[in-house]
Amino acid sequence: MSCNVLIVDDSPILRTAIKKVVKLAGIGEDNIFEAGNGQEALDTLETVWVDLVLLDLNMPVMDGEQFAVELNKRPTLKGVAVVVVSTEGNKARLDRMKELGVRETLHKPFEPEDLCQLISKLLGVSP
Amino acid sequence: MTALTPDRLAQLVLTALERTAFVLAEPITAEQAAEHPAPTHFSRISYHGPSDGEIVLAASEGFILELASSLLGVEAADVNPAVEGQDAIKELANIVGGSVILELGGEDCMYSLKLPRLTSPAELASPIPAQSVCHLDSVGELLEVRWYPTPMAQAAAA
Repeated sequence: MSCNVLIVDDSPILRTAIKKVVKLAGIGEDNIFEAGNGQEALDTLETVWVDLVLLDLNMPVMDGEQFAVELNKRPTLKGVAVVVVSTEGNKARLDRMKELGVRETLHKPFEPEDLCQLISKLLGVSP
Repeated sequence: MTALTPDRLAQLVLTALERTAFVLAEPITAEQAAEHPAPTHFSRISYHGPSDGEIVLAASEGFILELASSLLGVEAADVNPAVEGQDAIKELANIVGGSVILELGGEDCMYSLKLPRLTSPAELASPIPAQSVCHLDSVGELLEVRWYPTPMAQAAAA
């Protein structure tokens, strides 16, 4: 079974670092997609099915919270699993993300192993 | 307001470096830092909430190359300091900022970060001294982190 993962982060270098961990979790290079903000992520989701979105919150153009709101407006995309991977510490904002359907939150800096386990748990893949 | 001591600030930065990029560093004194290569890359991030403040990072070229190469999984010689290097120090400010607001705000944190940005020594001339400063060494290269419990622009206007 191949699963597609979308990494949404405005930092290209962090996307690369996260991509390394996603590959370690057993996801193939061709199944990993990247977006630099929420709008780019929505554009990607229009063209490819994604099983898991790893979502930063603080981004220019469209932030992670706006993205989650937009995702909920699209019936075909409502079931996509979303994990917040962010430096965000504001509890009220993180609670709002949960209300928007976010499955888990991983606070940066995180242990790569934690992200691997999260991917395995949500997608049922193994390294 | 929670006080962030230089030792605690250093610990937060060390954890960020280790977890994010497997970069191992150690705290050094200001006197030892003066013997290191001078910082050439600068970034800052401000936060708001119950109180407003700012974190400033200054790093030597070699430190930035090591950080970026670790994040990218490439040799330091293959890193472009003006592109990946700048991105690396900006993202490190973001991650350190996230650790600082959690330290200040605890479990019911009401702080939020703004976007990190690159800055310059001229922009960093502050009317107030940083409340906490830490210096870190990694293979002879330097990272300096400063915490301002009041944003510099706000302090200048006061």
